[in-house]
Amino acid sequence: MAKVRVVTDSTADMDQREAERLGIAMIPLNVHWNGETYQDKVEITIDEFYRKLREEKGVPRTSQPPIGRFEQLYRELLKEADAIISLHISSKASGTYNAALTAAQGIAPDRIAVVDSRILSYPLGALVLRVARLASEGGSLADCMALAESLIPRLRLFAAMDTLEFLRRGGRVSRFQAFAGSLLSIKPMVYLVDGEVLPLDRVRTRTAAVRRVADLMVALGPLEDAAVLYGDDPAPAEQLIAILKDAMPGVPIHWGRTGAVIGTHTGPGVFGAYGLVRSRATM
Amino acid sequence: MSRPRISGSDLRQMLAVGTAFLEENVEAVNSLNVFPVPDGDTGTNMVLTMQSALEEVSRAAGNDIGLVAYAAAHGALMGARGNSGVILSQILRGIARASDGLQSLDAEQLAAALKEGANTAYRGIGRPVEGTMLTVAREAADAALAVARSKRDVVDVLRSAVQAAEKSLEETPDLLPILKEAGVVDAGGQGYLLLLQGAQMFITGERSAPSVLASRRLSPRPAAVSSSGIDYGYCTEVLIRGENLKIDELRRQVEALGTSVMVVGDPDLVHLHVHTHRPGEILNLASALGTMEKVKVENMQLQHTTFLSGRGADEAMPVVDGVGVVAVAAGQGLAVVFKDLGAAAVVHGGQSMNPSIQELVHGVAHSGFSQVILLPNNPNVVLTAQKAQALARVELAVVPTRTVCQGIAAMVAFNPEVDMASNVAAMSAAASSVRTIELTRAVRSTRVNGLSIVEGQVIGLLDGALLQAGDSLSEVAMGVLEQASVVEHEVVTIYCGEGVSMEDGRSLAASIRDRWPELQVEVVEGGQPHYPYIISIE
Repeated sequence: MAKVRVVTDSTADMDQREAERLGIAMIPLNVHWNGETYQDKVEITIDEFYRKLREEKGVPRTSQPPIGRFEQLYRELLKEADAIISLHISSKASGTYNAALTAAQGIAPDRIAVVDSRILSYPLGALVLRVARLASEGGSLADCMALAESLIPRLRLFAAMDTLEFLRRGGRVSRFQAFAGSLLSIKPMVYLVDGEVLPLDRVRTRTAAVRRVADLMVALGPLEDAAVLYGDDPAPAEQLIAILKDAMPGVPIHWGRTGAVIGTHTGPGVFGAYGLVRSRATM
Repeated sequence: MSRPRISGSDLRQMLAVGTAFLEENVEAVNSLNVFPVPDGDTGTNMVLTMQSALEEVSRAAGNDIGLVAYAAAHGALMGARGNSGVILSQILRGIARASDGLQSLDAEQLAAALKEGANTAYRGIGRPVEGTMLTVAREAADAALAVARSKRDVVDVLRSAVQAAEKSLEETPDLLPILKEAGVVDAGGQGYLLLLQGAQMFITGERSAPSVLASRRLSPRPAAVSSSGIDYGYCTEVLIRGENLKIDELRRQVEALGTSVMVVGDPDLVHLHVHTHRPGEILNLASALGTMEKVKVENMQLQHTTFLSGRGADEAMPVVDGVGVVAVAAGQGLAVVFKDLGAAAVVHGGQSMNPSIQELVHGVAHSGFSQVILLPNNPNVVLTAQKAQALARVELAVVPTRTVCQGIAAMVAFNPEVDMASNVAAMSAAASSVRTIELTRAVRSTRVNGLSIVEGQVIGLLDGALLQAGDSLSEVAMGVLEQASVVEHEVVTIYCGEGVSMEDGRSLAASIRDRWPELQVEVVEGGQPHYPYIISIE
């Protein structure tokens, strides 16, 4: 039986045990901090990362995995597997997808499908888990790609930050005129549109942010799946999940943590929500 | 005496004498403001509006009454300040419409014109309130109509209009409870009566005493607004490139030379904007500091005339496709806050905090955007802002913010990446979700909302309602915060104005944090006149 292995990167936030059970291979991005380099989720856990963010000075930076890493993993996996499907963070948010693509093309382009998820964090994790389940049940490469193609356009992500500071440090503020403002405390909100992280709104209070995310989630219409996410402080996520459970009974709502790569740009106070919009076929 | 008609030259004089009479009694009218707050003076606003009308009348050639009335209405519209100024401009507009094409008015036509004036004023206001200038204008016009049917004399018509206006004014406290409580008649109605009396004085040749009702002892006010009229001067803008430019110092120097001052930028590039009669001095200042790039000096008087005559699409203003925000702010610090949050331009309210329609249109044109959202940030500017919509060359929407805090909340919700309609919706929602506390000192003793207020006391307003009076700023601030149930909110922002330092503000912030430790409290330099503290609660 054709065996398909699933590969992703560390920006996919998902349950690690489930990922291991399904044999998902994860390539870590790198976190650079005060002269040290850590492999994300391998050498530094989410909790450790946020602790450092709160307590230490310096500005962490992230970088994509080197092409060689992909080449090495793909060659290794292809010894036993027939095919690989490699799902990655949006190409507009990181060079990781391009590195994977280059590696795949150099090795076995017909056996490695590299997919631009056009998303990141928890929704990427949700995508990867579903594809991996299909692969573990005997799905072919074609089946897996079809599933990915069906899911990707239906993934939604909204996020709210506690402060503009981390976005500013990461150099992302000047790009967005919508995030101007340094005299008053501002909480920026973003969402993913066609793979790009774009400014959604600016608010001044956490309550307003929670309400806004809740309204946006409800406006998505019927959902197959959902989750509330947080970095280091679960409080706003707790407020949000209470509203959502009330507003969308019957929809499974999970909890997720956003990892270091996201946290670097948002700061520890980030929280948000993911939704998988029901496909017309299943309505 | 008798007089069957009034001509255009008669109207010129009636308007002039009416305005002069109003101006003589402007302080008495100002003292009728129900809220003892030092801004938004009805008397001053009406005088300035009439002076703008008179300027335009002086430029009109010909003595057909239709022509003169039209000029007066046009001038009043451009110079209209505050709600009272706008209502007055609408009355004149109605009079002009009724006089269109006529050389003179007989008694019936004069009465009809007064009635058309009242009708137009009612139509021009979204929610007309009885017990105001509207009521006085209407009842005066109705009396005039009744008399004109039987008498054919303009003198009789005017006399009955004035008598009816006096009676109507006397009754305004019965129609508007806040007037009754404060023990005053309506200021706008009083101003209108004075105008009518002045007009009558010209026609009869008799000098009468002003019917100023419920007169009160006036104490001299510290920052009286000069009612010397609108001096347009030159709109001067310079971009200065230099090294180590001292922005604050430059701003102080420029403030001494004109109004609508904006000096912003970096130590090596400063953008300077001012309305001044001495553009040469501004340029001397600028050239001494560095090299001048992009110098622009515009004769605003000429602009005003050109604009009014409808000729010449003005100086081709470079306009970008997209949505920009223009905010009205009194206070350099507040202007900086708005610009920091992304406002394209700020119109300075000035000491009276009420820019004219013309100044708003000018500010909007200067923003450089094809679609503009205007934030009036003052209840007395909302109406002028809405009138500016009809006159602006670009697409203009107004989010009717009534306080600076609402304006800033609206600004925070602004997203330049999104279309105008969505922005207006989001900004309106944000504006209505913030509460505003304003602290100032009472300019006279009075009774409002069941509170006895002594002149000079600190008074605290919550969303425009006067709730507390006391002797210390911090005491009143804490009291109003308590009444606003601040404990149920998250963020408190203190804007420090004239009369307090940032140090004082920080000290108040500390007291607030002490009392309510869960709150996030911020202190910002606002620089606003009259209100030492403006505080937002979100």
